[in-house]
Amino acid sequence: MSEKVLIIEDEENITKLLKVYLIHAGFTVDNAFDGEKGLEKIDSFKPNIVISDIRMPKVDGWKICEKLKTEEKYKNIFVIILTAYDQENTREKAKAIGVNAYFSKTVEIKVLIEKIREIIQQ
Amino acid sequence: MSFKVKLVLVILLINIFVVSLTLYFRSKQIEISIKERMIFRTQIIADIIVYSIDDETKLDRLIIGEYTEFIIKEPEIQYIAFFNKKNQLIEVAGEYNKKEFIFQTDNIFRITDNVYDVYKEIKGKDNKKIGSIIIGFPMQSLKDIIRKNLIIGIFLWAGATVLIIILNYFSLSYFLKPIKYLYESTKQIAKKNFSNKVPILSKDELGIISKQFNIMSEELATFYNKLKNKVKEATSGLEKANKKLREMDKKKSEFVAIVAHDLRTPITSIMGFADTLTDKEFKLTIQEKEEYLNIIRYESHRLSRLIADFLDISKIEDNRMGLDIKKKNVSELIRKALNSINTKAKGVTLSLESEENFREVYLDADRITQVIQNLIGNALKYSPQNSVIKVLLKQNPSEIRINVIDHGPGIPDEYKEKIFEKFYRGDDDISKKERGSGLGLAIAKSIIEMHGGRIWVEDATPSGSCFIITLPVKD
Repeated sequence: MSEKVLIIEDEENITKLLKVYLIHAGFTVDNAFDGEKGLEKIDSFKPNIVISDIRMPKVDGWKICEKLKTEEKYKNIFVIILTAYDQENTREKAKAIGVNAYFSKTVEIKVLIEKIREIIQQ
Repeated sequence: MSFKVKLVLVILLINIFVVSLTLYFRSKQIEISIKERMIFRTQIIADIIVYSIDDETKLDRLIIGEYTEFIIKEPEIQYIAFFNKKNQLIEVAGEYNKKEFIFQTDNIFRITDNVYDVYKEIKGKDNKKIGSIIIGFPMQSLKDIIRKNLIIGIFLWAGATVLIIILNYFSLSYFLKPIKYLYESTKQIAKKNFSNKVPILSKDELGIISKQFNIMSEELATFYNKLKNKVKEATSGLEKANKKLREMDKKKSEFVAIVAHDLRTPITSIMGFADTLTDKEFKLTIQEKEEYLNIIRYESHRLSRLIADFLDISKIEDNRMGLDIKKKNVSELIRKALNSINTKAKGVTLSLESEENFREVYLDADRITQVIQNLIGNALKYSPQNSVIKVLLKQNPSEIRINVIDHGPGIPDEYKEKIFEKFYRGDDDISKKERGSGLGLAIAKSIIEMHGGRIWVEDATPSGSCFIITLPVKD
């Protein structure tokens, strides 16, 4: 069974881009265009890995990450942030929450995929 | 050494000098009086001798011998010596121990042999010198007189000096009091205590100085306080300016952060899809390639629009946006602007209604077109499928009005002003795909205001928004 990745991202083209790469890399992929839908899909799709944006309509990425990192039933889910923000304070906040990886946009998607593989192997 | 002490010392020195001088003249006087007395006695003796002899040649030992015995009995005479007209000794009587005589009267204060010699010439009836005498008076008797006089003098001198010192001290203490107060006051002023007033004790020069000093210190206080306030004002002004600069700096940094943030998303898409096209591993179909190229094109246009907006807003903020004002037909201009917009995707119809003979207005055609396109673009995003966006042109003698009316959800009152602020985006209702830079309305507002017009939004009836632009009409 392949690893399942959930993309929570309101930017259509970015979602599309991630999907192209992830599917090519052999992952099973689903997505949500806002935080609220994202939370629903975490429970229904039951992903191993969640890639989330921070600024999104309805429920923002911080809330999703906090939920995933505090509730017992989600403890096996790897959480990756992919955002256009690239400031020290957001990186620190992500670290404090316990996010597994933080990528700022303009990252090469290949690099992101490599990191996901690395995380899974651990 | 204080001024008072110096003054006392100077006066004391002057007094000592004056008293000493007096004492010196007093001693001179004593000498003169003694000398005169002794010379007088000697003169009497000389006169008696002349009177007694009829022939001046007869001044010899015999005659002198008679007188000598008589004279030597006189008190206070120690010896007497007679000389002829050639100053040769004829006879000497009494106690003497001189080897030679000096033919002059001694200075009473410079006597070495304890005898006061008085020299006197003996002159005949025809006033010719017939000889001379020297009478030695023992100093012992004279000294008593001198000592008595000197002691009195010294006591007077000492008494006068002490009295002068005491009087000086007290009078100076009294007269120098204003100076003391002035001194104390200057010390206070040095400590920036200006409230201390110098008491005015007299109407003399010191009184005037004290009065002037008080005026001066008052003025100094006023001046100092004014200066202090000015410094305070300047400092607070500087602080304010500094704060403003810091705020501006912060705003600039925030602007840069927002720009960087907004540019990242399209760039990520462009880079990512470009990589899939060049990477042979992906083995894309023709349809996929076409789709990804369209995404790249779309994101490139979006990037270009974002950059154009960022440049515009930065020009506006730095007052670098110039307008190319020309007389234009507004109706024609708007028609062209509407034609350039692709509304097919949503099936929205654009309509333009204008009063007849619509006036020509001075404006920057490109910038006004930009504003219209922005308003129509916004209206399109929020318009339902197959609805109408209407542009209505009205005019009155002083201005023209451009109304852009849509049938979208409308804008809640609390956002009607906020939407014209920089980076304000009504994010939540539309997807990011259609989201702009958040600068369009801020730029539109600046452009309209640069033309001397206004822009605002009202509710349209029965629903939707009505953006209204006014532009002044100038001949």
